[in-house]
Amino acid sequence: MRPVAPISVWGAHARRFAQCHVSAHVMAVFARSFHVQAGGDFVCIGDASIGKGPLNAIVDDGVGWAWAARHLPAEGAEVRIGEGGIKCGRAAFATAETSIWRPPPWPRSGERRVLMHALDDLDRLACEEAPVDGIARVVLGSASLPASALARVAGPRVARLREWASARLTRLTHEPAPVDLLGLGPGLTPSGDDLLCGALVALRAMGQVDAARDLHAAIAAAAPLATTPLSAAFLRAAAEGHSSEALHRTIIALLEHQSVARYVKVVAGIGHTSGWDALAGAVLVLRTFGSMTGQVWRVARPSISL
Amino acid sequence: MLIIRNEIRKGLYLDSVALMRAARAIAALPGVEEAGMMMGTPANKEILREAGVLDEAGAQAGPGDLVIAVRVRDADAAAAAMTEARRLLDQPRRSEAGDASWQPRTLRGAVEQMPDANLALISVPGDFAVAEARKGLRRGLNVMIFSDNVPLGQEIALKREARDLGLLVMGPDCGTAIIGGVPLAFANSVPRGDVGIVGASGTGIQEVSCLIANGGRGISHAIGTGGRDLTQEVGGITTFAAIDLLDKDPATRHIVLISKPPAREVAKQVLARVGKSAKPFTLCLIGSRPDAALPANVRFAGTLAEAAEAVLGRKLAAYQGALPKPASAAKLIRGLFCGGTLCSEAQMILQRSGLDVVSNVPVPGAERLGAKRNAHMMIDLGDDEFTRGRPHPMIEPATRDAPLAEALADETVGVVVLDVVLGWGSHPDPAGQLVRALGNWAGTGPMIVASVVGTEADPQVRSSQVRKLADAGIILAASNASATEIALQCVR
Repeated sequence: MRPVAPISVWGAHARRFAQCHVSAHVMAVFARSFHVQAGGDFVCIGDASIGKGPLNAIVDDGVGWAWAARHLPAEGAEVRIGEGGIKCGRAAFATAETSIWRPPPWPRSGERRVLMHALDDLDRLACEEAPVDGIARVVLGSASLPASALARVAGPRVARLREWASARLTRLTHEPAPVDLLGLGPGLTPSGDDLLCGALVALRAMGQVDAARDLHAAIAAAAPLATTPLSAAFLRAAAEGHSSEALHRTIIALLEHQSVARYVKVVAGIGHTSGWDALAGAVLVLRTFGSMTGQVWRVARPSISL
Repeated sequence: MLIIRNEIRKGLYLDSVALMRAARAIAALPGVEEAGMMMGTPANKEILREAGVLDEAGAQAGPGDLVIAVRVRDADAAAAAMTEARRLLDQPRRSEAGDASWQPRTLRGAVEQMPDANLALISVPGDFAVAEARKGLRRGLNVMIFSDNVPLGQEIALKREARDLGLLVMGPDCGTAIIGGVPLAFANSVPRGDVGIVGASGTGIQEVSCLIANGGRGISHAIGTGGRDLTQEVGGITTFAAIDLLDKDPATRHIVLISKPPAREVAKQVLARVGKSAKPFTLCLIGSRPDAALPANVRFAGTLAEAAEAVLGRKLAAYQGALPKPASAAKLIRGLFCGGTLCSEAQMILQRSGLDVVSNVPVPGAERLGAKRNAHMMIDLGDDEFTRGRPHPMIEPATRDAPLAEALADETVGVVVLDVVLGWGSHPDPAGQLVRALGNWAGTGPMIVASVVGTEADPQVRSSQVRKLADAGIILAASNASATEIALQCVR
């Protein structure tokens, strides 16, 4: 009897993937996960080390994952998705009892002073810890631009995004958001995309649903020619306020001025620079928001459910 | 004049760490002035253009394409760079050696990567194992020492330090554990359940956990203690710590202790300790029964199978088939074992029936190989004399081929007894390897009786292994003890 590895938890978008598609194909196979694609949608199935996120489906039964991982077919192979299960090659995954991960709730209010102190603490941490690669240092931790070609190109684009966010949050503009960060930088999810993901999630955290919608509208229009399909899928999830659990918890820690160091450690482990780049995007929005809010900020929170 | 060369890879997806490392490796090659590996998005092509590494081919790349771009001194450097890029990008990504992600090289680095870790599994030469174990303990980690050749004095010091810190040292020479449902080293895939195991025996833990799992129950944790833990010198430090842990664990409702006979004083202390528990215990001492009276909550089991039966509350299925009789001259049993405990158990069962036994690892009452003629020979092929410079037979079953051929050619041997041990760390198809080694045997000459230690959830899939052996004419027993008993019946 072929063992079936149970998917213990998946993100809302991973679940949606299984609801919307009956067949897909393997896009990439890594040591701890593999990506499946269908019509521009993605799901990432892997062991617990991939962390909870909107597109992630986790097999935290180590034995089950190890067996499945040894029997995955090559890239391009067909994947069948049915009621209660996903099959690819000799590997099979059960989904009938999979629980849905949803991001933790955002704080509803806080003191501006507390938020700004937390952002300053993060800046100091970033001076030492943020990677030189990627574009996090364009936002965090350094008054002068690093010398890399990427940073030189990214700097003005980050500035334009910041200006737009400042104007949009005060409703002084209905100009389309600048999205020339899209597709910029190394990785399957380019650094610019990761920064935009963080910005989208932070806009949602602050209850700025319309601003998030406007930013994503501009992203979605440009994405087919400007970035990778996988990255576009992450941006769609971020537009709905969903990103990795690690990023969510870090943003909450900033809003509540808990010690961010341990959360940043986890975020830093996402990809080569993706975690830091996303955090930088969130900080860009949070700082902008914090600079224009009153002593106490409050959010009227729309409910989000999938 | 510098040359710009681009190559486009369509549909190649590597994680960003792997891409970064590959790009750096290419940039460091002789003759390479600049290198980049990026997805062919418009924004990235602009970067590559600005960096002076984009050519016409690269300019045509789409957002889903990977652009490998170099600026090099000459054509030879370009060719070398592209060859190396292809090699790095096309490396297998699912090998057991790990993916292209960075792997820490020190315990400290590993703990920084995984700050919530609470266990370190150490497999380095014995001389270094203690130092690494101590580093683990001082970082708050429990430790499993797979390494052997650790001096006894160091084992004692390490276990005392662990005890003071409230931590566990499993080992040294601990080859099997199951912690929180995770099989470690040589262990099997068993369901989580309410039976805890404390064992000074690797294959003993494996067989008992598999028999319990196959009987419908599950394992909470199986804690290996190392073979010397219950000696007078070590005093059972890890055994007592393990008993305390399982006693406190709400998920554990029955505890099995597996060991060779402990030192007398240590045995008394163990009995006193288990007698204080509210939980039922099964005590499986291969080869002897404690002198003292057993506490009311303790049941004794003389074999691994009996230990499983005590937990399951029923007998394991007995062999139902006919037993052919060997030729009258062929009355000896030859045991060829991968598991040391299984070899010891077989010796004990044969001795209990009044037979002469010789072995390379004789239990009390048995003699060393060569000491007696016409004795039943039980060989532990996993012992050092067979594995020096060679893989363990559980990893490489071909290690058993030559002794098996010799046994099958020996006219005095009526039955050969084998263990086939599945699970993590073991060969992916030990039954297949054994059947190939048997060649033209087909039931001629000595009979072969085997037990298969494993479960359906093991990578080898127990039923598949059993079928291969049965199709080859091998008699299958439910347990090692049963296999030995069947061999006994055949030669009587």
